[in-house]
Amino acid sequence: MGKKVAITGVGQTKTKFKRKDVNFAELMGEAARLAIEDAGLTIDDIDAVVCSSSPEFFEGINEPEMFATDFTFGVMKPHFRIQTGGTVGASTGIAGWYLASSGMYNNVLVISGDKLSETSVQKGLSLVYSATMGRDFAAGAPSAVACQTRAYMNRAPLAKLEHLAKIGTQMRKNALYNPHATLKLPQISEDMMMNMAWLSTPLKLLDSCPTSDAACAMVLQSEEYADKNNRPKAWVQAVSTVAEGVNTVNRDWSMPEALRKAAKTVYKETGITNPMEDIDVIEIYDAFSSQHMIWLESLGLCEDGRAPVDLIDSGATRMDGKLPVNPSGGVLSNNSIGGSAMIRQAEIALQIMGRAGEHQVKDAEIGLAHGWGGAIQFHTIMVMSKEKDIQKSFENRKARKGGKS
Amino acid sequence: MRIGIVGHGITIERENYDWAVEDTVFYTVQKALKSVGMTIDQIETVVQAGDDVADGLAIQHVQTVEAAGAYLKEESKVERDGAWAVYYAMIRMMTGKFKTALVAGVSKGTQCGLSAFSGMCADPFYLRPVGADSDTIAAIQAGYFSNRSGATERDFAEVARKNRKAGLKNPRIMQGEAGDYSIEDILNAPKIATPINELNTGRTGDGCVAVILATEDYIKEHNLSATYITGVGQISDAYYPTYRNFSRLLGAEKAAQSAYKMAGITPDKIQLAEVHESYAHQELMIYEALGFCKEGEATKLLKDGITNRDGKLPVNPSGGVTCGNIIYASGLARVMEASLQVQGKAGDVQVKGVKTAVAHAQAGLGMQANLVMVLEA
Repeated sequence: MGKKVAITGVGQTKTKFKRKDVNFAELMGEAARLAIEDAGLTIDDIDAVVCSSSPEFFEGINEPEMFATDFTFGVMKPHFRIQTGGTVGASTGIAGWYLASSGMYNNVLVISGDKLSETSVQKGLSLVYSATMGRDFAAGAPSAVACQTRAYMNRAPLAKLEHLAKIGTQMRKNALYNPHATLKLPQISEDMMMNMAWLSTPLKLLDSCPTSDAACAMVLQSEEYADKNNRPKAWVQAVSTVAEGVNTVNRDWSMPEALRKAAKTVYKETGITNPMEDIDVIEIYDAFSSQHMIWLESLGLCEDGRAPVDLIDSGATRMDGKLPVNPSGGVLSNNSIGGSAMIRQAEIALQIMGRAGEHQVKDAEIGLAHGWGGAIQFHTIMVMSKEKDIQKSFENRKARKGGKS
Repeated sequence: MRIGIVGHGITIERENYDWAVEDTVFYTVQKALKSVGMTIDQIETVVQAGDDVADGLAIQHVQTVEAAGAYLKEESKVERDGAWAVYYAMIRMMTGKFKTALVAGVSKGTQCGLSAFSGMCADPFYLRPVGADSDTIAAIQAGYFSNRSGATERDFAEVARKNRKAGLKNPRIMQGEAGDYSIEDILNAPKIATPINELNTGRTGDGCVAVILATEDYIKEHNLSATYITGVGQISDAYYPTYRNFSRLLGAEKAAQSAYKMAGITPDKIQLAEVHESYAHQELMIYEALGFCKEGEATKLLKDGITNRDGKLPVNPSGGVTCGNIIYASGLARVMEASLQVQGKAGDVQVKGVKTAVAHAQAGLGMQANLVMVLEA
């Protein structure tokens, strides 16, 4: 079997709606440099680099990783790009895990990001739709997610617009404590959410994520190198990247099969039997407030259709709840697309390392990072723990919480 | 744990207006599965390769997930030539998580055109304003190489003549691209960007290549014929040509060294090579980079007939990329052809007794990134 791998360094760039001070390559380089420094390594220590971003139409440059090679320390090194849309950051982090676990490389740098201010994001996303079958009604992401939200509200009658407002408010409040969030709204309230203009019914303007210029990078080290690195680290225990089809006619967008399959895989590999009990912190890719409930249900945190009551009304996913979700403020507070799914992994790594600062979840021992992308189609999960052997992390939790494992 | 290539499929055409990108992937993947008698259910992970710009689709593989059989499977996509997808699929398998994998690289080159596709690879600040694209950058590279090595346009024509002739016997090339041309025919072909002309570069078309990988245990258990990937290396050079030694392929040299080291071989053990020569002069540069000859002796190797299909070290007996370029699957096609040779399944282009072969793939403007793979029986 493959080697154990730990995340030993993370880097997140300064984010803004528009970073006028850097071009795409420099933005990627900023994240890369921060991650290498954070891991206490130098450029020479890095054996391989995976450098990714989402569709080229966002950068206006084809093969943008080539353009960024010099800035991401890839010159005369193995350097390539993964591209899976919204999940790209997570797929890249997971590629880093495979590279370090395979025995071929020991110290891997992964970077993912986008400079969305260079483009019209929704025009770019409309090109996701098939040229022959879908582009006539292509209208970017919000219209598709509006359909998904309708499907969910239809299946789960407990879900009301008020729940979307609650989620949006909760995320923006969390974001106030995260220096890397783009959208900071100290005045956020459920009323404010409800009073926003319609984006695409039933989604209102603040039910959507902002667009950001941001990149994220991580250093992953194989067991023997991670053990020698005495910085805080997060051990990766399971990874999964699953796709469903775009043309499957009976696909239920409110019950993503790919996510359910991925969740099943990682829970089996890690021995997580009851995610609500066994996980301390979760970061999900909630580009729209309604997806927050859909993803969490599919991760098995509650029964199907019960998320509005069991997770949102109950406050279970708040910072002071039983299982905090998106302490960072989530994708609803910072979305560069390319960077977002890796930021989920990086944030969980920081939580596990105990270095999340003002938005730290107390005693985070086991965490889960999720990514979403494609045409509501790709899902990724990475599970991390504080101890190299996840069983020991389970025991630590048991000892701390008295009986709860 | 050794990983082997067990199945192969290719579709390559000048243009196919009937098929969307997902059709191209579907029929090619089915060919590959059929070649080894497997069904899609036996595939545990899928890695695809393709480019958004070339296909005119954002997140291009959104459309091809079902066609490639990746539905509800562990899957990913490399946005680089399919040879890198083989590399990533192999690494995924080396962790022990998967026993089988499918790799598919696709490009509908006619939907975008090579110049538009590669012109967008040029950065907007320095390269794009001067009209940099794949052809013009390759022309500059050919100039640098000529200056250093003394190779002439006539030598480049000789490479194109060799490859186009080799392709005559190969059904797995773009139909209409092979031929028994004279040197004069090639020298007088319509110019694209001197010395690049229509016959010393490969025509861009539509197609897909799919290969199936399996672990050694799986191969033995199912009694499959396989080509083992015993070594692989991939290296990127600097982005701006200005920052590279443009007369040499330093990245390809380093990639070859790491592949040979991993396989535990030296270049003299190699019996056959399939290389990604998007332009004829690049094949000569690759001879040097892969260690087939000393610096400056590539033209001698060619003129002595060593790299002919009946020579001591046949290079591109398939006809190479000169006989058809399917952008993101051209390097993968080299891997496939080399693998078929090692398994003795190359048909009329089979070279006798090949046990150790090498495949090379390139990406980026002026060969910025290179991958070298050692394939053994």
